[in-house]
Amino acid sequence: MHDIVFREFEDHLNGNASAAFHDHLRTCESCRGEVEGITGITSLLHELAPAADGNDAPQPSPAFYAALANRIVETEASRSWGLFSIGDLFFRRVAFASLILLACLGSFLVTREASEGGADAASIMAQHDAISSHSDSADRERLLVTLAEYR
Amino acid sequence: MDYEDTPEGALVRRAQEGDEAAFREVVTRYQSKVFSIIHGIVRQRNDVEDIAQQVFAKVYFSLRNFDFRSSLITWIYKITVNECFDYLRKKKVRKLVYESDMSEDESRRVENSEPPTDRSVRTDTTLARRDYIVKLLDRVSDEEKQLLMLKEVEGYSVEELASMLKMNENTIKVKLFRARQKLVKAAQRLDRLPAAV
Ligand SMILES: [Zn+2]
Repeated sequence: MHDIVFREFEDHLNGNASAAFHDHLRTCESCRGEVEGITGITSLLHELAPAADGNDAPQPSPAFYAALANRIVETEASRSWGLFSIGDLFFRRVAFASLILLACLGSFLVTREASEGGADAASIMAQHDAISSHSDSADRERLLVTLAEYR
Repeated sequence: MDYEDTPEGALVRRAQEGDEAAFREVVTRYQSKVFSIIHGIVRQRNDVEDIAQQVFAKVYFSLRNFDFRSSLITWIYKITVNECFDYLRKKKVRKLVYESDMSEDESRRVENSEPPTDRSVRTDTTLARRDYIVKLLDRVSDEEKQLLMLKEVEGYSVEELASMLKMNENTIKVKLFRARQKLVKAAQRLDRLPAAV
């Protein structure tokens, strides 16, 4: 390819090439062929423009950031073989907060059961059995909701 | 003014130092743009959010390596385009595995299940053109892909690219031209292998 075509090709795509450029193309078959090839391929690239086919891109949902935070925490955990060895990155706070929340909730439930019963370990355990698994699953659900909201 | 000294540069610096609110602001600022780039390339609405999550997870994990030599969106753009091509490569592998599981009769039944209408023929042509250019782009370097996409898909001028990428205009022109030539060469090679298209 001759220098003038190489130099002015981007201008040519914008419709700003000089008269000398066009004169050259008229007389040089080799450059003309190459310019046609490159121009054709370039037009194909426009197919990738957003909404080139009239379909608008989907919009991020309000939960996008929460899902992203989740993925980051999970990736960090899997990279570092556990939450306690992850680096000093800020999503560590989210992971630790989840653990602390779990621990607090656990001790709160034990304290509440102990104070409500006001009895010895055996009666607390008996009371716990009587409360049944329904209350346990409700607590778990509440915890999940809290974690999901937190993230 | 250096990019590092702009308000956005300061935002990035805060995110690099571990400020979660700053990272959240980066995500909020560019999530729609990232969705739109991904959709432009992969056209699978259901997968856009998943790829976008992967993009921002990569942004998060490599933000400390961001050196302010380009603008943040230019850097995110490159990550997004690479992620889309990774996705398409993986999808192609899955498709090949799926097709190899089908018998010839099954393949024929799938192919003949819907008689083509005018609209579907048009859609097929558009899809074929898109698949073709995606295949060609996969054969140039990441930098060349990014340049071609920023110029032809996003519509930036050579001057704007020079400023965004901190290169002189002539360098941009030369790089663009070489990238375009590579696409043409890739097309010639691909056309000689019709089975691979
Ligand atoms: Zn010539």
